[in-house]
Amino acid sequence: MAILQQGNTSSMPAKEFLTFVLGDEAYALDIMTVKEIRGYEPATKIANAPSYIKGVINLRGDIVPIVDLRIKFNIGEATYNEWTIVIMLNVRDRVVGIVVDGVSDVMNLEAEDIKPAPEFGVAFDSRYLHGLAALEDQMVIIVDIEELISSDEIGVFESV
Amino acid sequence: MDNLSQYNEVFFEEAQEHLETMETLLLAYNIDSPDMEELNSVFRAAHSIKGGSDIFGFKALTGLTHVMENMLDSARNNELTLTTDLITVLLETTDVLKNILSCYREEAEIDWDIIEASKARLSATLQEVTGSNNQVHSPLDEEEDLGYGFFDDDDADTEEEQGFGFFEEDENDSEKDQGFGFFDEDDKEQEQDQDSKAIDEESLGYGFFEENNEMAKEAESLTTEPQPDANTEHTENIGYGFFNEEFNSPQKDAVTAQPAGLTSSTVAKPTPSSKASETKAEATSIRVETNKIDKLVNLVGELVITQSMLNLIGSEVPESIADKMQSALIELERNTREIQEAVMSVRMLPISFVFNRFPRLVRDLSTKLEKKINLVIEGGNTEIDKNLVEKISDPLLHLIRNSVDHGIELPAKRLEANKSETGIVMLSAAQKGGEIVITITDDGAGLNRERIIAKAVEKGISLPEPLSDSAVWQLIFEAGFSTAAEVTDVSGRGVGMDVVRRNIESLGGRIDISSTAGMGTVFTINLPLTLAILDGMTVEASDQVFIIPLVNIVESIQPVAEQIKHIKGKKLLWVRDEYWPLIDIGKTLGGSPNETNMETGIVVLVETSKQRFGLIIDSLLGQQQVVIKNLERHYRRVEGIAGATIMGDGSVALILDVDSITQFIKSDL
Repeated sequence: MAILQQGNTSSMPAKEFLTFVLGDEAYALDIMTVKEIRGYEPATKIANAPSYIKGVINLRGDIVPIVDLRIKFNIGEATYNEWTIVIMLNVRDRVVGIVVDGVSDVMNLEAEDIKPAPEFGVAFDSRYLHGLAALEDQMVIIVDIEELISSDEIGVFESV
Repeated sequence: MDNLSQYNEVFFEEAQEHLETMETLLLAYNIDSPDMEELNSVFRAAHSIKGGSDIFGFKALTGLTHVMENMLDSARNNELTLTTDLITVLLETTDVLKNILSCYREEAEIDWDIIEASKARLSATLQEVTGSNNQVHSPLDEEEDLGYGFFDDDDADTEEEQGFGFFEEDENDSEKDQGFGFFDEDDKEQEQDQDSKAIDEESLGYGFFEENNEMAKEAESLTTEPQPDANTEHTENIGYGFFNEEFNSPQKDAVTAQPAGLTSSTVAKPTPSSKASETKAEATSIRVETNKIDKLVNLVGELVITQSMLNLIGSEVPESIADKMQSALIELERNTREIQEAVMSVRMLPISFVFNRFPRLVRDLSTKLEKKINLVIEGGNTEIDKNLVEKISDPLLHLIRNSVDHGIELPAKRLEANKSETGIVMLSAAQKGGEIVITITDDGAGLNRERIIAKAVEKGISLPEPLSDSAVWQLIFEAGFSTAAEVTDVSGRGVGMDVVRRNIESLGGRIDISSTAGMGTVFTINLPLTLAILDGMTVEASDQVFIIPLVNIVESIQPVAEQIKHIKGKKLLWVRDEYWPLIDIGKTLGGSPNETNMETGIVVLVETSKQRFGLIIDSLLGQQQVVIKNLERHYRRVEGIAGATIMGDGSVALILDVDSITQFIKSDL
C-alpha cells in the first residue's frame, strides 16, 4: 500500500484525494473521509442484506459494515485476494469500509481541475460524483463518497 | 467560604437525599399510629439540611428548615399531632426546599418571598396547633416527674450545674441551636418551655442520660468553662445513633472550648447497635462519578474478550506446558467473571430509586382529580442497571399518570360498579431470569376496545389483522394516537404512549398490555438486567456463528425423523406434547440457500413472552458470556438480530433477537 505524497502542500485551496481502482477504472475520494486502509478480511454475513454488503467486521471493538462497490455498481470482478483493499471511511460520524481493487495515489486537485461529469458512461449516478479530473493521461472519477455511502441506494444507514 | 465551596456539590447531593427521605417518610406516615422512629428520621433529615446549609451559607435553606424542624420537634415530643393537613404543609415545604436547593445549585436567584411565605405558613400552622394543644404539656411534665425520680437526685448531686445558673434556660436552646445561631426565633418558639423537659425525658427514655451526665460532670470539672449544652446535645445524638458530619461540625464550632476527650468518650458510649449502624453507613457508601464506573465496565468488557482469546490460544500450546497453562487459564476465567460481576453490581441500584417518586405523584394527582387511590409498591429492592434506572423513570411516570388519570374511575363511578371507593394502582418489580419485569396494574375501568378502534380509524392508523384484543391494545402505542382532545392537566402533555414504547424498546425491553373491561389494565414491561453483557449459547448455522441469549432457551434436542411434521411445506416439531414451529437459522439469517439437514441438525427450543418455537442449527459450540456491541452504531437495525459481539478469535458473531425472529414464523406461515 504505497501511498505517495504528491504535489506541494502550499497551494492553498487544493484538496487532497485518494485514488483507488475498481476494475479498470480509476476513482478518487476526499482523503479527509479516510480513517484507515487495510487488507480485506472475511466479514460476518448479515441476514437479508443485499449482496454488495459483505457483512460486518471487528474494527478494534467497533462493529463496522463492509460494502463492496464492485458488486453494487457492477464494475470489474468481485474477487478477494491478498491485494484486495478495504478503505475505512468516516462518514457522518460512522465508520464504513469499502472494498476496492487497490489504492494507488494521493493527488492534489484545485477546484478548477475538476470537470463536470457527463450524465452517462459512468457507473455511478452523477448525484454521487463531484466530476472528472485528469491525472497524467488517465481520467479519474471523483466520487462524492459521503453522499454515496449515506444514500438510500447503499442503504447502510437507516433511512430517516 | 471559598474553601468550603468545593464541598458544595456533596452538600447538594446529601441535601437532596435528605429531602427525598423526608418526602418518603412523610408520605408513609401513619396518622393514626405514628411511628416515632420515622418521625425522628424526618426530624434528623431536616436537622442535617439545616446544619449543612448553615455551614455552607445557604441561608434560605437554613431559615426554612429551622421552622420546619420546630414543627417536627413538637410532633415527635407529642405536643402536636400530625394531621393530613399538616403533612401536606410539610410536603409542600419540602417542595419549596427542593426548589431553593436547585436554585443554589444552578446559582439562580433565590425567591425570598416564597420562602417567607412558606415560613409564615409553617409558623402559623404550628402556632395554631400548639396553641390549642396546651393541655398536653401537663401530663408530660407529670410523667417526667413520676417516671424518672432519680433525675432530680442526679441533678442535685451535680454541684457544678447549680453554679451555672444559665444551664436550665440555656439548655433547650443550645440543645439544638447553639451551632446555628438561631437564638431569637428559638426563644420565641420555646417560651412554652417544654423542650428541655421533653428532651430530658427522651434522653432518659433511651437510658443514656445518666452516663452522659456523669461524663459531662467530668468534663465540666476538667474545663474552666463548662459546656452543659454539649452534654445534652450528645445525649440526643447518642439516643438516636446519629453522628452525621453535618451534625457534628457546627456543634464543634460552637463548643470549641470543650476538650477533645469529652467528644471521644461520649462517642465511645453509644449502644452497640447505633455504633454499628453508624460505622456501617460510613463503610458502605462512597460517591463515584458515573463515567468512572462506565469506563470500568467498558474495560471489563474488553478484558472478557481478551480472556476468551487467551482460552483459544491456550488450547494450542505444546503438551509440555498445557496443564499449567490450563489451570492458569481456568483461574483467569474465574477471576475475570468475578471482576465482571463485581463491576456490574457497582452499577446496580434498587429500583426503589425510581419507584419512590411515585407515591408523591399519585397522592398529588389523586387529590387534584378527586379520586381515591392507593398506590401499592412491591419489589422495590429489585436491582437494576443504573443506566436503566434513569431511562425507565419517564416511561413509568407516564404510565402511572395514565393509570391514575384514565384508568381509575371517580369514587362515585366505582361505587356504582360495585367496586371499593378507593382504587388501587400497583407498581411491582421482580427479576425473572435475566429480565426485570415491571408491572403497573390498576383496578380501573380497563381499556375501551371500541373507542380505541374508532380512534385508530379516525387517525388513519391501519388496523391489524386479526383484530385480537392484544392487537387492539397495541394500537395505543401508535404514533399520533393520543390527541389534543385527550390532553388534561395530568396526562397527554405531548408525550404519547408511542414515546413510552419507543423508550422501552430502545432499552432492549418490551411492553405488553392486558386489559379487561371493568376490571382494570395491566402494563407489563420486560427489561434486560443490564445493557452490556449477555449470557449466550454459541451455535453454528451455515458456517456462521450465532449467539442465542440463554434466557430464551428452553432446551436443545436432536430430533428424530418421526418428530418432524410438515404443514403446507413448513416444518413443525412434535415434542413435549406440543407442536413447535421451526425456523431454519442457516436459511433465514445465515443466507444459506439450502435447508439445514434435519438428520444432523439440532433444534434449540426457545421461548419469548409471546411464542415458543424451535431454531434449527447445525451444531452447538458452547456457552459463554458475550459483550453486546451495537450493530446500529455503524450499520442499521437488522430484523432478527439484537446486536453483535466479538469472539475470542476477533471475529464478529451476531446475537439473535429471539423476540423479533417470531415474525419470520408469521411471514413463513
